[in-house]
Amino acid sequence: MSKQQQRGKQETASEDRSTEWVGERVNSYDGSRFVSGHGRYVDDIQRPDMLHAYFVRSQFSHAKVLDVDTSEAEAQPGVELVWTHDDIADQVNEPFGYMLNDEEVLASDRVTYAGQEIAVVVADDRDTAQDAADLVDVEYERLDTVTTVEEALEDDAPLVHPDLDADPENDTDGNVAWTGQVEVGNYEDPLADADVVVEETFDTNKTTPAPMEPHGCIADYNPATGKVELVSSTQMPHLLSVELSEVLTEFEQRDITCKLPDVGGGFGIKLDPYPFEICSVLLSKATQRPVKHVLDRLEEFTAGRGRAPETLEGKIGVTEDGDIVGLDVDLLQNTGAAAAYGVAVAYSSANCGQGPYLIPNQHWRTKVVYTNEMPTTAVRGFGDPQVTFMREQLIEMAAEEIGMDAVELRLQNSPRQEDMPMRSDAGHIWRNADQITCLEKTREMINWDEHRGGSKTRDGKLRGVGMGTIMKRGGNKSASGGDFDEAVVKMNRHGDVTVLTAIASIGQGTETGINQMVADTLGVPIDRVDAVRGDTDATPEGLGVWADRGTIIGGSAAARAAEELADTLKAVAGHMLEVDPDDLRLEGGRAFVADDPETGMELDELANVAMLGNPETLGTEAERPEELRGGISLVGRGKYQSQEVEFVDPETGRGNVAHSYTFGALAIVVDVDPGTGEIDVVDVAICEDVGNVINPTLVEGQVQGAIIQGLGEALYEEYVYDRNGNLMNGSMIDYHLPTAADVPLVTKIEELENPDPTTSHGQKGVGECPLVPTPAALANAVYDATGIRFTELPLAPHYVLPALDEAGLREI
Amino acid sequence: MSTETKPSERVTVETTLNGTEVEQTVPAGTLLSAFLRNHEYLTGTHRGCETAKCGACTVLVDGDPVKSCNMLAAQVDGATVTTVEGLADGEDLHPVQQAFWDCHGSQCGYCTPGFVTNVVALLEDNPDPSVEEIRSHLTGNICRCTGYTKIIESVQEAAARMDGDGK
Repeated sequence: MSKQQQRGKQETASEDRSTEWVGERVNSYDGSRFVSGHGRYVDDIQRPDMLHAYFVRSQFSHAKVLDVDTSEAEAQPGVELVWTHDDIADQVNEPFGYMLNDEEVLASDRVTYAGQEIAVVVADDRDTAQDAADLVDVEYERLDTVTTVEEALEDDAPLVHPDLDADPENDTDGNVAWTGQVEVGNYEDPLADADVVVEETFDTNKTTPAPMEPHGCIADYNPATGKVELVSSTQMPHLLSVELSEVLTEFEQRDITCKLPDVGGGFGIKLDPYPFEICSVLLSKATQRPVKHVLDRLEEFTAGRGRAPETLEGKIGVTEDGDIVGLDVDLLQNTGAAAAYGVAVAYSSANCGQGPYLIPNQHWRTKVVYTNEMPTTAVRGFGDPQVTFMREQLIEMAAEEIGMDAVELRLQNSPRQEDMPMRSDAGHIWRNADQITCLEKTREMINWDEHRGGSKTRDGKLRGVGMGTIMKRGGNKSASGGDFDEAVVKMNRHGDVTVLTAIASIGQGTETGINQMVADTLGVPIDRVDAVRGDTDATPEGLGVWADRGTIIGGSAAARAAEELADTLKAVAGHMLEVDPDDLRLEGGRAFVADDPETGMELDELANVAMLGNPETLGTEAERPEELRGGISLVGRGKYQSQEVEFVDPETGRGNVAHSYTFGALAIVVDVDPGTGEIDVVDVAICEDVGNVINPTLVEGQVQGAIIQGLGEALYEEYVYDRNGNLMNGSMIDYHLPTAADVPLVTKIEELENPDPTTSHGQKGVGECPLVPTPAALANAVYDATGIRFTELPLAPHYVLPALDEAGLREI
Repeated sequence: MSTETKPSERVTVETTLNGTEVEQTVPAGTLLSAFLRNHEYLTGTHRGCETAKCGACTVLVDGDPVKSCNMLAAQVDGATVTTVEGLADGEDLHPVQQAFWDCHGSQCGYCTPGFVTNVVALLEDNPDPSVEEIRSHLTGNICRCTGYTKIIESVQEAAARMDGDGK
């Protein structure tokens, strides 16, 4: 493939570390199991005597629940229990929620979206539970529904949460869940210095990342200990036990062991503590049997959560010679019936809304608004795709207005690597990133100058090119109070290594990269390194995988743990070989004198001697150096705590919201069919500065997957609700996800490797970034092709074709 | 099977499953995917959508790829069924499986068994497919992680490795 590599000049790896594995195309750690059908996802796990839960979900988007008659369901053979809100009320702290307390585990007297949990049936098998759930008779009284932000903000709008002041610290009322602002420079008049102001309103779409594996869990309560083991398809096992303990009145964190099965994709929506997890724990406690619940695909669509649609009224101010001087934005988020991560999505996207530019004056006003739709939450990109859809279109509009090339305008306003580290206008700490080269390489790879300005292809399609940019957060501490991971790296007497971390494997390959770093530090072959992930009884504390943090935070912790073990191995080898441990190198399964490779020993033997610790081989303790007395531990410990990340200032919205930032640019060439309105993406190019690449194959996999996910959201994905708040397209047939025939091959990938000096191997975040600019670049390309500015997502034919018609471009 | 059979009635299914003769008596309404997962404990066949769209449950019936969530177990009575677990030769992965691993055509792995079985069928019929033929053949399988580029490369790599191999 045409992937190119550019090695950075700086090396952060310590001089004496092996470089056999980091940077190599090592096969994924889990891959052999997955290709052979020996993965073990939660629904693959059976336990003796296990019960199966199924939920009764609201048929209406907004209604009073007058009565729930469970008698017929309870009478069914095989049904163990049927629970409603009253059955669990004294076992849960309600309302609960990640940032705002606005959720109930089972609805008490009102339902606020179609799909909300009202009752739960638990039975000997899933079919019995599902059939019995159909027999639960819910008596509703319909209430008026609000499904759009405009309706929700009207003075006489029906209230989604009339009895709830979800955020008492914020002066909000009505359907407003939360408000915030970002104030930078002359925020009261941020466009004062502009010669030209361009303004437009953009609307993004509600989508689901639709991981192929639905959510699911098995709860297994032990009456002797009072503890529960929860095997759940989650992205954050340790944080899940923390968050569940805050909801479950009778369980402390120590009482909830969360264990990861294989997780079939997450993309953000496997972060929240869900009602099905809470109920499964309580049902297992009540029945003293294991309880499983796995959502079906309809439940995924109606209750599995997704990306928040946002309305962005934006104004950008530029000078005649192309300096961006100000940005003024009203951001309205339709968060659905519960805010979940929506507040964080709103404030972090406003905080980072300036993107990879220097913008001295900014004013962002954000409102998170409740409606009677499925709650939204974290999804890959976490609000950046929405604001980038606005910002990058405003930038190309402004460039046109002042007669400047859009890439040149970007180059002129981008930060310079030589000025870093630096504080951005909104408070980010930017380190060692070369955005200029990202823009120039992307322009070159996509043949910008050839395509720009639009053309007609030989088969009559309208062709154009557009760009978007990336300044994506890696790590964050608002979820947990600090951004940290611990790791343990241990070796057995045969020299085999096990890495224990709190990171989750959801397909992204973090464990493979971590194994590579550990293998290099210890100088062992990669196939001697195993990974234990996310078992709160066994793995040290950490926060899981989200915000592109796994390899930067978890990886840096594991590297430190491996360093500690390496120091021990060198001390033992130095003692046995009678050389200075500092002169030793660990590589190729041996410890040897760096300047005299013949003098050395096999790590297997070294591990055995160290583990047994006998005086016959090591001499008496008195004869050993001090660090080899009192037991030689082949356990290395490491912790990485970001000292860079800050809490955002609540008054100004400024602050270093993440540990690090990944910069980049992406460009797209489209062909628009003037007969059908269909958009064919004919070329994509991306250049990012991802720091040192741990595994090029895995990075490419993340880049390709993220771009295609972004294209799906930009081209056709969209939750369609009717006026009553009922989802009209809740299946994979009606909600079209990209297939292999719909999307291009993504091979123009260039990774700059300017290392982050704060991480173990100079690594930066990767996985979410390429999705961020994709919808924006697509819309810009369509404008270049057609001269029509599409301000809503998705750019589906039913939206594009009438606009082509109106512009006189439609051909029949 | 008689059209009079009710879903709750029990039927006996005899099939050659991954090379072994299998006989099971199950409710007539049992889907093939449920038969494989719950009765034969072959959990490599995954359920993704329950609407015959995503292809995570694809298996081979008499060599043809079918979506096992959209077929009754009773319909494979007398047939040969191959699941993803039946492709490897002992500990040696099938060349298609090996290529998916080597080319990173699998990330979270949930869709992978469906892709692998479908590609085995493709390469039986067409040992040297073009990129367009591969893309067209795989429209019944959804992957959310890879964006398909590395899946297509995996298929090309498998085809190259199997070239002249007669497999």
